[in-house]
Amino acid sequence: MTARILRIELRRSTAPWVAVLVVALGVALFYLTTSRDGWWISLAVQERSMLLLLWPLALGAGAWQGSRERRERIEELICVTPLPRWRRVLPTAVAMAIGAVAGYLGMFGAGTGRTLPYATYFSIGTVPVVAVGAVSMITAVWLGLAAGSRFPSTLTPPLLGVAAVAVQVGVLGVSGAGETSRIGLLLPTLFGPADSSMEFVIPTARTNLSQVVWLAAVAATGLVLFAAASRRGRLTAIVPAVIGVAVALPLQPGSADVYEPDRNAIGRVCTPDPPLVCVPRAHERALSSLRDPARQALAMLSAKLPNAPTSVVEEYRQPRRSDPRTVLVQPLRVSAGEFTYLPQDIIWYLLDGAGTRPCDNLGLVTKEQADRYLTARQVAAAWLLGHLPANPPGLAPLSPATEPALQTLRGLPAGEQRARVAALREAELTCQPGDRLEILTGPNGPR
Amino acid sequence: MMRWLTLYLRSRSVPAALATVITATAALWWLGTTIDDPRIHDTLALLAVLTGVAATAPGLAGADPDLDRTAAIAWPPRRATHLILAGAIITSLVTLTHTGPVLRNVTGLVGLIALGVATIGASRAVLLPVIWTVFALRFAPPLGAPPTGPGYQVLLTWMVQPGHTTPATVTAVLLGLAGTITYSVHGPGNRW
Amino acid sequence: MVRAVGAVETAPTTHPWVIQAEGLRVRAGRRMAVDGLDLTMGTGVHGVLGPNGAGKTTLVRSLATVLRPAEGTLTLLGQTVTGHLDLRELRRQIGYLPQEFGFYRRFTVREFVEYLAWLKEMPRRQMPGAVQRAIDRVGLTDRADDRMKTLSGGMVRRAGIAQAIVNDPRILLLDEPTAGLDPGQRLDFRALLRDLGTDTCVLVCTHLVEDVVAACTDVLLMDEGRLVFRGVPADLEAAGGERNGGDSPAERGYSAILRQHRDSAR
Repeated sequence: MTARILRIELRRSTAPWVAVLVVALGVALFYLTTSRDGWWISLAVQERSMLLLLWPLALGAGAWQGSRERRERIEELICVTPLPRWRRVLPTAVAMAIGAVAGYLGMFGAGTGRTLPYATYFSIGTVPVVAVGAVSMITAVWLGLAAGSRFPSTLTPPLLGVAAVAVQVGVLGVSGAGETSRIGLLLPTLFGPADSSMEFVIPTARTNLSQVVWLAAVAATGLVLFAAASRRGRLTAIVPAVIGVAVALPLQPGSADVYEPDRNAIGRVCTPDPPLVCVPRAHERALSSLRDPARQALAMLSAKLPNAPTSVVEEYRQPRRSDPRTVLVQPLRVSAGEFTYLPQDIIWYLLDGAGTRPCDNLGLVTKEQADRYLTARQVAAAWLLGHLPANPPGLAPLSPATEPALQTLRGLPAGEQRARVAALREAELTCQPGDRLEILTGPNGPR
Repeated sequence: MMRWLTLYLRSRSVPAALATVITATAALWWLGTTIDDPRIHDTLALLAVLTGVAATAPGLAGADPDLDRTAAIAWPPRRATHLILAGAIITSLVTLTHTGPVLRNVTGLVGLIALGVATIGASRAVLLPVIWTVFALRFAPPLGAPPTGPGYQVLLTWMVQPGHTTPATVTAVLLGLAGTITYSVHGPGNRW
Repeated sequence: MVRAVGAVETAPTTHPWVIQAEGLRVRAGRRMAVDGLDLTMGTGVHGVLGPNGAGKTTLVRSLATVLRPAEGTLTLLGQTVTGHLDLRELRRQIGYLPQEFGFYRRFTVREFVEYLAWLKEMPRRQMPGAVQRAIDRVGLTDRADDRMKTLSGGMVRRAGIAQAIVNDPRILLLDEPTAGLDPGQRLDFRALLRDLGTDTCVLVCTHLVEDVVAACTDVLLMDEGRLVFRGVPADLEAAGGERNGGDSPAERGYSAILRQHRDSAR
């Protein structure tokens, strides 16, 4: 029989509206904002970040539903019915939970339109991220139900909603959106790592576990508060929340262990034919948009330099020592299956420092030292390219000192020019200390 | 006159609304003092305005809209005055404690809630400003930065745009006018 | 618990009256709205009349177990209502239409009646049939699948009666059930009352003297929290004379009794 009542509540309560509202808002947020698409994990994390707004909405909807008996003035009729309160409200709570979860999953489904065409793999780590979000939606509606039935005022839903947004904005404002603080991990929201692209990492098991324990405990507190008929019953509602804190806090990961690299995402995918161009698996779809500029850059390097590299590899975690036969690239921005740069920008970026990565051990203290270092690397790139980039490059912005330094370099005999650029490349590969611009344009040349 | 006014205010649950707004504004002000990021302060001010506007909604309809409609007094100017006074009180309260384009947001959001009261009834009216603001907050710090283009995105996110953004101000004023006129002439809508 | 069930199930043989009140006093706010009432009721239709503020609604609310008696004893179906009594078993036997009847506006009539039947812990198998029968009996069959909010005032009242009778209660309490009903519906309702009264203790509060005379087997008149008259409808009609206000014998009887009571009280 309760199944029939549940069906009535699913149709007649706020539950279907919550689902529709969350999906509609989710679609609007997904498709009206420019975001990075193409990975299931980033879709899941994006949706979790939108909980900042959807969670308060679900909370308010729960409160609205929770005040139904008072709003419809049916308390007089209901207070003389024999069915215990907890059994009476259980279908409402279940219906609201179903509505909220359906909305959350529906929103994820709506986002597949921007993921499915580009995703080449599915990390199982995506599932818990979505699941924790779905649980948090149940937490929201049940807490709302409890608040709405205790304070059945028209003002309760909007006030609760605004308060929930304010608290979350406050926590983020104090700790910063990119950082994941302990208290931030207690929020339903998740924003992805501050120092890495979301496509390469997944939340660790400890992150998911601590969050789901805490959120489920608060959900239980909300349900007990909502279903309890007596003061004593409501007092026991504190128990799940306390247990939740006691279990979740020790489970919380340290700030370095909130995320871990996703093995699926960082494996290497290469072109079948040489010269090899490789990307992490997360960027597999974008390989074709890297291949041509990468090969052009390789051709320019081998045309002008001895011992030129023969492959381009974009890699998430890079070895400390560079392989002279490979141009290593830090992860670049990819969206919707393409590198979000023009081909000439990619070439410019690959030629920077004559196909080397910047060294981070040079101890460049002053801005002047740093500028000279950047200029030297760009002069090498422009020399290999044959000219300065026509338009301001989207990657590695052009230093103003590059042009005069390039003229100085070109004033030297051709063999000297080539020797000096090769020397710069050698210095960069080994990261030996010394002024790089001196190598290219200094009176003495390479030692 | 004074007695009439007191009764009217009580019938429209103004004291409760006022208490709510003051408490919420104070709480958000306190929250603002703990946050250094000045961009977030505008968001908090917007939330304070939203609270005020939400608290106004129940008072925009009496206990029984049909009964009000039959009362032999000129409702339109009274309703317009009610809206403008509510807006003025929210503006002054929030301006005292927060910075940002408060007046613009009050204008637009009060207009929205008045539109909501006139169309979907006082108890649901709050959905309109709340849902729109929730949508726009996606573009406010700390989640993002308000778009500067294309044009329709600027209009859609008018309440989180910087104060000097003319299209946003125009949108807010239009919403304010539309809401005030609709509500003043039509009065609160029925429950459905 | 087992004993409680037994007492109710075997009620007709163990207690003489369905409703029994002795020196009943019930508070409504600060006022003692029912102020020393002695009452016994069995199966049949009992009409409660009285001016505004006589305590009719408070009496019904206390019989419905919304309010607890402040003093005196109230025995329903052989069980004395006290703070310690588990009311659950008793409440399954009560049907109640409050004066201010609230309802879920988005539910259909059938859903709403079904919901109330569920709240009254009706056995699962009987429920669909009982819901349909209740809706049929109040004449809402063709509106059964319409939303409650689309019903007119009289139809809402009838839906209220349907939810009150859905569990085949032993005690049926109807507070102003005929408010908003049109004349034809009132005639149907009177027939329904007579039908229900054959096996149920029905208590109807109303201002419409005509309804009481036409449909009730027993008339009670209350004033200022006390019972001032009790008899069959014919007694009420006989009590009035030409000098008393009213357009029918029953109305004249009603005014005569009230006048008489108030004069003697002064």
